[in-house]
Amino acid sequence: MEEYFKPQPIKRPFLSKGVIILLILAANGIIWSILRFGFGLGAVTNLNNQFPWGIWIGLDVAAGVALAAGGFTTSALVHIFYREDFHVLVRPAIMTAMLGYTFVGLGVMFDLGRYYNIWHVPIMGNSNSVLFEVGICVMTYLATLYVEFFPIVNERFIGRVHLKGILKFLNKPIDGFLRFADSFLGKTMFFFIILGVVLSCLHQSSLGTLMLIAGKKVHPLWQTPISPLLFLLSAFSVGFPMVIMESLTASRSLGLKPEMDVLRKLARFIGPILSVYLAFKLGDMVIRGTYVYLNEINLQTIMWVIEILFGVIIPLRMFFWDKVLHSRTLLYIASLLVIFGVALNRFNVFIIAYKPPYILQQYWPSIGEISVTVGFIAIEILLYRALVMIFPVISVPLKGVSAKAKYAIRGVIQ
Amino acid sequence: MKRMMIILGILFVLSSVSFAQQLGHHAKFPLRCDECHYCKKPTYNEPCLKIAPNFIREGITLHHSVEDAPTLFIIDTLQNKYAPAVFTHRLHAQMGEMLGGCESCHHHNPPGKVQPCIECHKPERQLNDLSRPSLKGAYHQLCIDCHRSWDSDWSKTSDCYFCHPKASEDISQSPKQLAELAKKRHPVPKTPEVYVLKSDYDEAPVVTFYHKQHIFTFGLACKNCHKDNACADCHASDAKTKEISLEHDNCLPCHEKAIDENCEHCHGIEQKAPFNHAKTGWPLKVFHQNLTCQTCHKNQVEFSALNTNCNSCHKANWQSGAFSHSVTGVQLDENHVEIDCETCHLNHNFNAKPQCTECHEDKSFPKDIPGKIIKR
Amino acid sequence: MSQSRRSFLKAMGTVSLTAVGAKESKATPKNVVSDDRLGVLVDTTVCIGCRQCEYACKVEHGLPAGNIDDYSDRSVFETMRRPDHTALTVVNEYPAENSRQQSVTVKVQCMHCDHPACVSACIVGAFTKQENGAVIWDEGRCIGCRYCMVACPFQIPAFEFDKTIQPRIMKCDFCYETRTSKGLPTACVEACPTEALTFGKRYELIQIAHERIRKNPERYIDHVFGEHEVGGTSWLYLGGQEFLRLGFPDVGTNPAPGATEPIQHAIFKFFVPPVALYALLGGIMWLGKQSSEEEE
Repeated sequence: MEEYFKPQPIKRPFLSKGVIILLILAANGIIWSILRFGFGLGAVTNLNNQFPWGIWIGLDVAAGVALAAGGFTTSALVHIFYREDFHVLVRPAIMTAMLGYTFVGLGVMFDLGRYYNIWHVPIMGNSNSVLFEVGICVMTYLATLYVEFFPIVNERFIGRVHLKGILKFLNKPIDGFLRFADSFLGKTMFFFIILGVVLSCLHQSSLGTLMLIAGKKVHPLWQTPISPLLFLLSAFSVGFPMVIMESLTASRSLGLKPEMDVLRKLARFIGPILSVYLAFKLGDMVIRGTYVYLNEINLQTIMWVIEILFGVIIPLRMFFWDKVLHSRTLLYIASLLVIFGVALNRFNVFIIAYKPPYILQQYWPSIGEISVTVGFIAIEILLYRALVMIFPVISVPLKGVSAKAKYAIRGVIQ
Repeated sequence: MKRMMIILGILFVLSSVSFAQQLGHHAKFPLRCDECHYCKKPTYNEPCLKIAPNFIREGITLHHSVEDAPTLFIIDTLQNKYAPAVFTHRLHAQMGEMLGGCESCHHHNPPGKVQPCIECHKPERQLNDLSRPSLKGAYHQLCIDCHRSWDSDWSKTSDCYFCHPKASEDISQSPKQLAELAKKRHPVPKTPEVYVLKSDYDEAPVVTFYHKQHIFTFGLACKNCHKDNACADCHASDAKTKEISLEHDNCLPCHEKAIDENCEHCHGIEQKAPFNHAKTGWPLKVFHQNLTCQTCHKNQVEFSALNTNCNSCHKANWQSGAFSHSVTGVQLDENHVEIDCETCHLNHNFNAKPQCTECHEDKSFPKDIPGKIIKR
Repeated sequence: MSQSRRSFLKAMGTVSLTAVGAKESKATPKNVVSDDRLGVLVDTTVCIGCRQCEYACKVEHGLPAGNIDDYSDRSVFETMRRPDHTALTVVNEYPAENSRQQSVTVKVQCMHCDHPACVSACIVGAFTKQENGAVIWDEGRCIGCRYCMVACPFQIPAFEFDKTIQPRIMKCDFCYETRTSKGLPTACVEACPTEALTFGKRYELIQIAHERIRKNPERYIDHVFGEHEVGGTSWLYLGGQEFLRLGFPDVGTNPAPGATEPIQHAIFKFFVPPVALYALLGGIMWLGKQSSEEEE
């Protein structure tokens, strides 16, 4: 018996115990943010001239971009490879990607010394700069994600724009605009979907090129010319685990029945992708002979072993194991491990592996930096919760509906 | 006359050119190309000639002794932050003797007398000739190389104020202090009597080196052996504890023959006695004892036996009247002063006993003296 | 349906056009390697660590310089210092290999690379390599991302972390504005009493450096640091011992931007790979659409 799903706003009270904790963390992050913009980077962060980039780049931006890979991988799977059986996952994935990239952008703004000059990037860009490529792609992709999300807004508000009081006169134009946008996007959405995938491939890989210019400052375990390829492969491998993790978390938190059948099918992709990633990673190590560094025991080698063992090898084995695919808890753990592995990889490349020739002062993230990062994550989760309550994002089973309905982003399939 | 000169000049130039052509291109000179040219392929338009190439370093042809060197220079050409520096030139010349002499500072000199720094090193830095430091740079580079060499914490002679007094301590205007400085000399180093050194020559490991004798008896100056010593060789903090070492090279060129053929000259099983001229078969008597070795061993690097005939050295002034016989310790009396040398010293053999028999049958030397014995 | 297919193809065309157009409108920052570029030769065997260069540099750049007499205090050498936002050049002391020799003092500042990593890295092209060899930073462009600091193999650019607004990237600018653009030597070169610093055309400096090595083979090691390092730098160093033991980083002779520019150019040369990927994905999507329509 086939179940049919229809995305709709979730009706649940917003507040819960977890939400209150998240609100506190978010408030703490906001306080530190005010300090950062009021007193400068030096006042809040432990960054110095030897370590110009800290966790705001390593985690908020680099890991943030990687973990938002669920959006493009899912939309590629569903829309480009026409695997409509995964349709229910597209909207949450796109939305998390949108949230993720929004906070990547925010993270960048926090880290920039002259954030108010960010508009220089598109007009003064230096095409030799890897960072420029990353920046432009992220900016464009963020816009693309908003466009991809727009049909959901349309679906929610077309015919339901009821502004009150003085703004009443706006009701009609807004409604008209939404209708126009809906019909325009309906014809052009495929363009944005492909664009999103291409842009993602570009900047996910370019993120790996970013640290190549640092040369010998980056530990040879991570400094490899195929770093862009490794970044791309790891982004592919973290996309689906991210979707699975979110879906399971959301269903638990919102009291829904998890879509285990769909998730199981999705999980079967992860093992092979992860194996390719591991093969390239180890192959590169053998070709460049960097395994000699594993003879020494230091922070770098320990972190590398943790990254590979817990982040790749163990989840890889798990995803090839039927028991895992059938157990909610194990699937959740396996997905978390992949996410942990890729996030740790980004953290390693940008923070742990970075060893400048002259170290006068070691870098250790300050309370301010950690607070802002944690605050970002808290706000992101809160926004997720809020958005799924406002917009039709998560699909819930509709009992007794038998009509063949395809719930895609509107416009792709007419 | 002028025309003659011109013609002669042209002839000279022509002949020298043709001579040069006979010699061939100057690339065949016994010099490496890069001694003079800094680029690989010099052309006539761009000869890229070096300033002050090494091979004319020793251009000083008019030498003078250290004592004739200028005493003091007051260097105020560049003064701005500090008072003028007073440079004790003669003192430095004296100190410089053991590290290469005048040329160690006056490193480049066209033939002639010693030239001052400013002749080549101009006060303003020349941007078209980067290899030549300006006057200030030249001074500093030259001075500091020695000054820093025995001053590990920069507090002694390499401190800026050592040479550049603060404006309040300007002594360049005080004649009294300047006169004192001008008198300053490097104290004469102590000369140990003898070094007994151990070598790795197993058969006769002990080398006895009579240092004092080399100076006072053999008449060597410090600089004869100590040619390339740095100040730090004696003044460094660890100089006193450092072991004395001698290389064969130190004993060159005087002992070249001994080094090549006669090890026992210096090496022995135990400490050797100092050199004694009597062992050569010619004990030095009162008069010769006071002479330096070179007075008799003229132009000898390694001393060898000389003809012991007096006239082999004392060649001139053997006519009566011209020679003051008193120097031998015997002052001739009135009768003998007029007599030819040969009358007593037969065949000009002054080593042999003088003969009185030519005139006096009953007299003989040294029982009878042709005058009186005087003290010398 | 044909309607939508046509618009699909039309849209694809627009993508490739805009992509190519974008490439042509983007410029790379000025990065000239002129034959006559200037440089400075630092002879570390002549340097005496008087730190007059530090003082002169601060005065030249309007940084708080303090009292000149304090610069003769040699106790600062006890800890290694690095150029930062308060001092664009610093002198450090390193023990001599020969224990009887005095320690060696080495001036550090931007090397002004011939192929600078900062110029290549800067997202907005705020860094430029000028005709005379100077690598300078343009305050008007900088967004403060500090990627230059990550990229620099000599770890030179510093950032004013303590400034809330308009923090600057601080590094030696070769006195570009005030001196070298007019052919004058930099402030530090003029201040150096021993002329351990020689200012001139880079190729001449290299000749002089090699001549000094040839004349004094016992004084120098046969290596001019900066002649080939990271593809050549405008500042060149002579040393009496291995440069790694004079506090120089192990940088190799490949230009500092390394593989990033080739990778970057491989991806963006005429936008072929992205457009190809776009076309490929579009093709797959189109085929999928066809088959799903047939099913219906």
